[in-house]
Amino acid sequence: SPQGESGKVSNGKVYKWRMVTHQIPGTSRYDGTILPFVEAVKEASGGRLIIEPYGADNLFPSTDTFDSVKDGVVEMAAIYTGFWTGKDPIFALGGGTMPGDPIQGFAEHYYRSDKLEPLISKVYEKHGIKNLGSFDYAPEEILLSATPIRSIDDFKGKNIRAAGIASIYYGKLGASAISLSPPEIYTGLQLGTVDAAEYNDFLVNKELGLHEVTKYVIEPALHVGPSSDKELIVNPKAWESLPDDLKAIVMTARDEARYNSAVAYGVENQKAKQEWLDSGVEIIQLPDADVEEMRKVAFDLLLEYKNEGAASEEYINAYAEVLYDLGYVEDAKKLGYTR
Amino acid sequence: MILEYAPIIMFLLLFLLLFLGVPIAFSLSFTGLVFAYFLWGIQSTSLLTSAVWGVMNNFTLIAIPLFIFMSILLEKSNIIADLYETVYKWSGGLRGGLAIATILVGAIIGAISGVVAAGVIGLGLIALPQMLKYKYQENLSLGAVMAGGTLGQLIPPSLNMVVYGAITGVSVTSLFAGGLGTGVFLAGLFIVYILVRSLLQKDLAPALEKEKRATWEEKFKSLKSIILPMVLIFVVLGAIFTGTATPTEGAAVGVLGTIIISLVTKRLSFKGFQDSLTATLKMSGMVGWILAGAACFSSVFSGVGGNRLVADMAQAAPGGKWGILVFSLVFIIILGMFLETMALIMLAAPIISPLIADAGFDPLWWGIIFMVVLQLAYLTPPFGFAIFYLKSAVGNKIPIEKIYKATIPFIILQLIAAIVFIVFPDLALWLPGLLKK
Amino acid sequence: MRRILEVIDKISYWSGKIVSFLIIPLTLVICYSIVMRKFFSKAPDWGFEVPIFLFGIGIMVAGAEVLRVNEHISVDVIPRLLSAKAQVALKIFSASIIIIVCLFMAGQGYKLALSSTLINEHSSHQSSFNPPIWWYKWFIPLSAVLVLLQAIRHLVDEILVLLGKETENK
Ligand code: NA
Ligand code: NA
Repeated sequence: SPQGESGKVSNGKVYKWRMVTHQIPGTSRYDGTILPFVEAVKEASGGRLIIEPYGADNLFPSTDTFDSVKDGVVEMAAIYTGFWTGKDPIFALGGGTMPGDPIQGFAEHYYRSDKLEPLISKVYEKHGIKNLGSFDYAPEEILLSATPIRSIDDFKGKNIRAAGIASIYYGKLGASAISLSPPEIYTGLQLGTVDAAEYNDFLVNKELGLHEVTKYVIEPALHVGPSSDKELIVNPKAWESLPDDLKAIVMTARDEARYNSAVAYGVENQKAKQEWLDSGVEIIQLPDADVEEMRKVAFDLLLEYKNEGAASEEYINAYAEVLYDLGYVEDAKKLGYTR
Repeated sequence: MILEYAPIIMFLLLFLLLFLGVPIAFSLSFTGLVFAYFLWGIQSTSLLTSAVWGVMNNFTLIAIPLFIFMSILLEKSNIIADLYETVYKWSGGLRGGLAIATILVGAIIGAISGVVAAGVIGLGLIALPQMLKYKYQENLSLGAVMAGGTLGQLIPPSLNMVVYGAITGVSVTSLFAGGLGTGVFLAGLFIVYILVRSLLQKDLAPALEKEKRATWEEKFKSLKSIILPMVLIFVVLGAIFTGTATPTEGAAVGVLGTIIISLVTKRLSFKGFQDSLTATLKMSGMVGWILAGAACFSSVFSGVGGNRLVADMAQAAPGGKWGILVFSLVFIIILGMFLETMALIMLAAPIISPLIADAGFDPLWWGIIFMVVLQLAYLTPPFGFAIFYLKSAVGNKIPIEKIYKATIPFIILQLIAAIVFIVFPDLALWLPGLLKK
Repeated sequence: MRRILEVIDKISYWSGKIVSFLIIPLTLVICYSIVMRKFFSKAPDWGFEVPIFLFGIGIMVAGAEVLRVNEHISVDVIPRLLSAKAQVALKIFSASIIIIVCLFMAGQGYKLALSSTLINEHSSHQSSFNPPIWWYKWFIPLSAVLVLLQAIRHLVDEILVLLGKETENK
């Protein structure tokens, strides 16, 4: 039988785990990675590790996942790190949601998430949770609008639905940030309660029907770059109880999910974008000069986050280094990177 | 082995507790707790606090206390009493006029909010006493309140439909259009039923006696009392449809409007205002604890594999394509007895809707049928949220078995409607189709 | 004994009375947010969470007062067919179920609120307001304890009735 590094031998025992996610069954972000992941684990382990997945709010509200994994109510979760901003300020940055982010595509994002993972894992560990790293990829969110926004000045006085750091960012641009729960975005845009809304990418937003109530998509998306839709986190005790070969199988299946997501979300998102255009939505490109100015506002905001504590400062410095590695030298310098 | 049937055993335990008279909120949470504890250990009993926390953080539910408050204020300030008196005068020799007005008011509340608790409790507070005052038969009055109060489930805006759309990929606009069409159809069906029955049965929903009927002069004079309610409806609906307020916020506009109207017309005493606060709190607290219990129950229900059991049963259903359809309908009605709507959609739609689509049915049509049947589930005894909400509005004045009995004709009407939409899909789809052109 | 029971009733009554006023600020806060957003494009960043707090505190704390006046809805069709003594027995059963539920809710709620307090937890709603929420979590064990007390009060009442020590005074 297989033997792991620590010498713990697989004993043929069948492990039954429960795993929650904030995504809804039937949507691409669930069917595209969660199901293949649990299937891959089951197959590779010869049925010795069975993971039962539970969709959004099925077992408990998604935002209660943190405590539930910590306390062992469920063994595992694949969930968005941005939900835990209230638990620790670094999680606000940890989802990879950086205003002004110049990073593009999954290759660059995976490079970043691998580089920054140890910093996030350390914070998770502090709170009694084991982080297995980024689970999958989320293309950049888009800014949906019912009215044309053609310049940085057009943001002033607009009511924009936003969440997390982005809501502070829009405030800096002179807009008014509005909190709406995801199901309310549809009627919010339809009836004009908000002028614009940021939420997910072309693919996911289309599943929510948001193309039906959107007239313009404003590009580039400066409020948030590509990110991890989910982090794979486990209960430390449950994780340690697994034989090493099963641990390896989980990690391999996670890698496969990441690979799957690059296609299932990344490529499908590109296809979905065409469908938005076909349904009559106009894509507005902001002028270069304005984009530069907006990026400066975003970076100033990130620099403010450095004051949130040593962990946040370390995180932004590491992020700046990633930007440098990827060739965004000027941007790295603006964030204080020196070599 | 026993685990496979855990979902069924859960239902049995819940039933037992209910029939022994344990309050619904605690029957639900206790059943959830017991199963969480014995299947997964003591740490999993935190599912109860998670459920409570979920209710405490749900912005949409804020509409519940606001609607209840508005309804109580409307009732205490006699604004609605005047409205019904006017309707009564104008309906003259026509029997059933007030019950029809109740259905229409229900549809209007439905256009403001999709929260059924708001609709049913609201009508229970404002419409029911009026119908009873004018000697309408209790059974019909209770039924009209529950049927009218649940219309918000179908009539847009509806968060339920947005979530359903995300799960199944069906267009939300089309669902809204389908919901509007079927909602109006149902309201029409209720009205026809009320008209026919009142016509056949003299004392069911009596009209004013001939000699007491209002003259044209009196009729026109009475019209001034519909001004205030009309202004109120206009302001609230206007705030929502101009995008000034979200549907949830619209309820707050209604409360403020009612308070202002009551103050200006000096219809509300300070004592009356204070009593309204207390009554509002009690009813919303009751609903809040039930919702938390329902969330606890449904989370454990999905945790013990309720969805898997259902998927297996659906696939094993005999009768091919129509077998799957019938099974799915029965399933929604049964689950609808125990679970709150949103939980039910999250649980059932991902399993059932793909099966139906694979069987060759139109996904949009099925989405609309799904919503129609969900509404039916609110009314079906012994466990129907509309029943409990109405019971909370009437207090000890009316025993629950009378409310049970009152649902029967309206259950039949809703079943008829569902069958009509199934047999003539065009009826459910014409409005969405119109929109596409 | 009677004294203690009356004190419990008073606690339920007054806790309910106090939170019943929250509906007023709830209404005003929402209306204020609407006006600021629509006419001034300056929606207050607290406009989302503050209504949630007002609502959540109200409905949860209300539980005890609802129980005091016996307004937690139940299906009492069968109990009403039974003898007076059997009815009392069922009431004792009901109160015990409520006590068990509230014991778990208080215990787990305490754990939850405590760990939240220790990390000075802030909101999970991702608003720019991002208020602390650890204090809000304490309303879970608090409401549970209030309902628990009231349920114990009912239980003692019914047991006294069953023992024939007192007649029901409701
Ligand atoms: Na509605
Ligand atoms: Na039902």
